[in-house]
Amino acid sequence: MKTSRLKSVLSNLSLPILLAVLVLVFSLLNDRFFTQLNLTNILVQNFHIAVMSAAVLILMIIGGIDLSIGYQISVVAVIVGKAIKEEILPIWVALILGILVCVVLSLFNGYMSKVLRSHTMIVSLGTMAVFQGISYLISNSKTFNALPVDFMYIGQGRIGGWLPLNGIITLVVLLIIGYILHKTYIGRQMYAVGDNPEAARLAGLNVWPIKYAAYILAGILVGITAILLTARSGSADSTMGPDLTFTGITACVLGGVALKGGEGTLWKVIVAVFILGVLSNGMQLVGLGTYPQYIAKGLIMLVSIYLSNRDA
Amino acid sequence: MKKIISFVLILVMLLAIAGCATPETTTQSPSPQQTTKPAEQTTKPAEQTTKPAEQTTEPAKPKTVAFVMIGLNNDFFQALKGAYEKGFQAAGWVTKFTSGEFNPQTQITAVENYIAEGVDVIIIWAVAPGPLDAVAKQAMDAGIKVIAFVQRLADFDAGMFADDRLLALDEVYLASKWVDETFPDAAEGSVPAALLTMDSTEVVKIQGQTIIDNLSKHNPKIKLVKVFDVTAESVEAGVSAAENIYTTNPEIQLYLTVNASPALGVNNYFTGVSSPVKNYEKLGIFTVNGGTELHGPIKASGKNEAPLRGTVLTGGIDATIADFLEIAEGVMDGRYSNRYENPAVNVFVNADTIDEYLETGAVTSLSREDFIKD
Repeated sequence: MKTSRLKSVLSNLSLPILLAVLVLVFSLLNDRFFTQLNLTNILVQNFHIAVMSAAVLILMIIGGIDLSIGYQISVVAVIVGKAIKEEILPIWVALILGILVCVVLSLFNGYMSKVLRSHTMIVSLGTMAVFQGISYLISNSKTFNALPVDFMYIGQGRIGGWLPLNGIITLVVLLIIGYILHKTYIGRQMYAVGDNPEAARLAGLNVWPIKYAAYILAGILVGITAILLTARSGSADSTMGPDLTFTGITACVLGGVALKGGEGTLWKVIVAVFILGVLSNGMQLVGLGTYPQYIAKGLIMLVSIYLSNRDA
Repeated sequence: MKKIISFVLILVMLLAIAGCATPETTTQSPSPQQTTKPAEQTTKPAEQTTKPAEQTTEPAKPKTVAFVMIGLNNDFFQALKGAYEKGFQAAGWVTKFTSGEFNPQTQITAVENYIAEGVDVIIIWAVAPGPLDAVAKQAMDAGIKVIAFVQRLADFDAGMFADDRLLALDEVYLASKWVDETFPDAAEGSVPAALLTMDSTEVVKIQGQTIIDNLSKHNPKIKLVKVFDVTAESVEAGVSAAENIYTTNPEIQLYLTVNASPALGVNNYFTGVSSPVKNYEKLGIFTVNGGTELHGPIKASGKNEAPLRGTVLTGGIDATIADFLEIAEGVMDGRYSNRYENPAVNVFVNADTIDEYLETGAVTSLSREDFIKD
C-alpha cells in the first residue's frame, strides 16, 4: 500500500524532479547557468510559451490539437504591430482587437471541425495556411520595428527594476485558467467532453457549446501570447509564432496531457515548459547549437508519448 | 443551415483577406501597355486570325521576366521586389514573382510553371545551386533565357553574383572601422566580439567561417570570444541570443551577425525597456543585407542612441536594377550569353552613409578600398 502511494507521489513529482536534475547538471557544466540573470532569462524567454501551452492544453483536453496556433500568433502580432506602429489605433484598443481576432480564428477552427466533421488537427492543417496568408497580406512581409515604449513595457518592463511584468501577467492568466479548468463547472465539463463526448452527451451535456467555450478560451490565451511575444521582441512580423507550436505541443505531451483528450494538468504543463526552456538555454550555454536542441526536443516528445501510452 | 453559415463565414474571411491585400502583393504586375489595352486584346480574336498581316503593325508584345526569389518574407526582399517591379515595368516589361520560401522544391515548381507559361526571361535566385540545375537547363532548352542571381547554376545565359565570402569580409571591414574609431588605443585582443551565426545554408556557413577566419587577422584589437548558433532567423531569436550571451559574456562590445533579423533582435534587446546597457558608445552590432527596418537604428547609432551601426548590402538597389535590366535586354538580343558574369558591388551602410544610401540607392563615399590597410 505504502509502496504504491510512494510510486504515485514520485510519478506526480517526476517533472519537478527532472527540472531540478537539469538545473543541477547545467549548473555543473557552466558556472553562469545558476545566476540570477540567467534564471531570469529562462523565465522571461518562456512566459509567453507557458501561456500558449495553456491554450494547447485546453484544446487537447477537449480532444483536439491545433497546429495553426503559431500562425494565429503571427496574425495577431502583425495586426497589433501595424496598428500601433502606424498609429491606426491606441495601444489598448489594438491589444483588445488582437485578442478578439484570435478568438475568431480559434472559433473558426472549432466551427470548421464541427461542419467538416473532421479532427481539429486536420482542419488546422488547412487553416494554418489560411492564417499564414492573412498574416503576410496584413504585414505585406514587412517588419514593424521600434514599437512604442509603452507597448514594449508589457514584454520587457520590470516592476521595481527586477520583477518582470510579463511574468506577472503570465502568473495571473495561468491562475485564472487553472481555476477555470480545475474548480469550475465548465472546466470539468471540458474534461468530460474530451474524455468521452458520447458519454458526455448522454449525460445531458451540450458538447459543442462546451467545445466552443474551450476554443474561445484558447483564442484569448493565444492572443495574449502574441502580445507578450511582440512586446518582448519589440517588433512584429509574419515569421513570428510558427516555430512555437511544436514547443507548446511537446510541453503538453511531456506534461502528461493525453492525446485522446480528457486528461491534463496545468501545473505539469507549465513545469514541462520550463524543462524545455532550461534544456534550450542550458544547451546554448554549454555550446551545443540549434540542431542538438531540435534532437533533444524531438526525443523528449517521443519518450513522453511512449510513457503516456504505457501508462494508458 | 450549417452549410450556409460556413459558406458565409468563408466568404467573410475571403473578403477580409481581399481587404487586407495591398497592390504590392500581387505576383503579376502588368505593364502600362497591358493595363491600358485589355478590351482591345479580348475583343479582337477574330480579326487576329483573319488578318495576320495587320498583326505585324501592332506594338510588340511586352517581354515577360519572372523572378524566382529565394524568399519574399521580409522587408529586404520586399524592397528588392518593389524596386525590380518598378524598374522593369518602367522599361516596358511584365514582371512576375514567386517566393522560393527558402525551399529548392518550391523554386523548381515555380520554374516549371514559368516554362509552361512561356515567359521570356527567368531570373533565378537559388536557395542552393545544385537542385535547380536541371530545371534551369530545361528552361534554356525551351528557349527561355536564364539569369542566375547570387548563386551560380550549372548552366545559364548570364549571371550576377555576390561573393558571400567578400560580403562577410566587408562586414569585418565595416566593424573594424568602428572599432578603430571607438577604441583608438586599444591593445591587441582587448575588444571582445561575438558572432551570431546559423548553420542553415551554405551561404551562411561561408559567411560565418569568413568572419571567424578574418576578424582578428584584419584587426588584432578584436578578439572573437563567442560563436553563437541562433535558433531561427528572427528578431525574437536575436533577443534571446543577446540575453544568453550577455549572461555568459557581458564584456562583449562587438556583435556580428550573418542575418539581419537576429541583428535587429540584439539591437532591440540592448535598446529595450529593461536593457542592462544604457550607454551604447562602446557597443556595436554589424550585419549583412537587411531591409528598411535597419535604417532607423543605423541612423540612431550616429548619436549613440542604438548599437546597430552598420550593414553591408549586396549591391545598391538602383545599381542592381540597372544591371539586371541591361543583362535582361542583353540576353534577349544576344549580347550576353553562355554564362556571361556580372559581379555585384557591395554597399557599405553605416551612420555616415545612410543618408546617401537613402537618397541615391547607392553609396560611393565608402568602398572596400577605404578599408584595405597598407
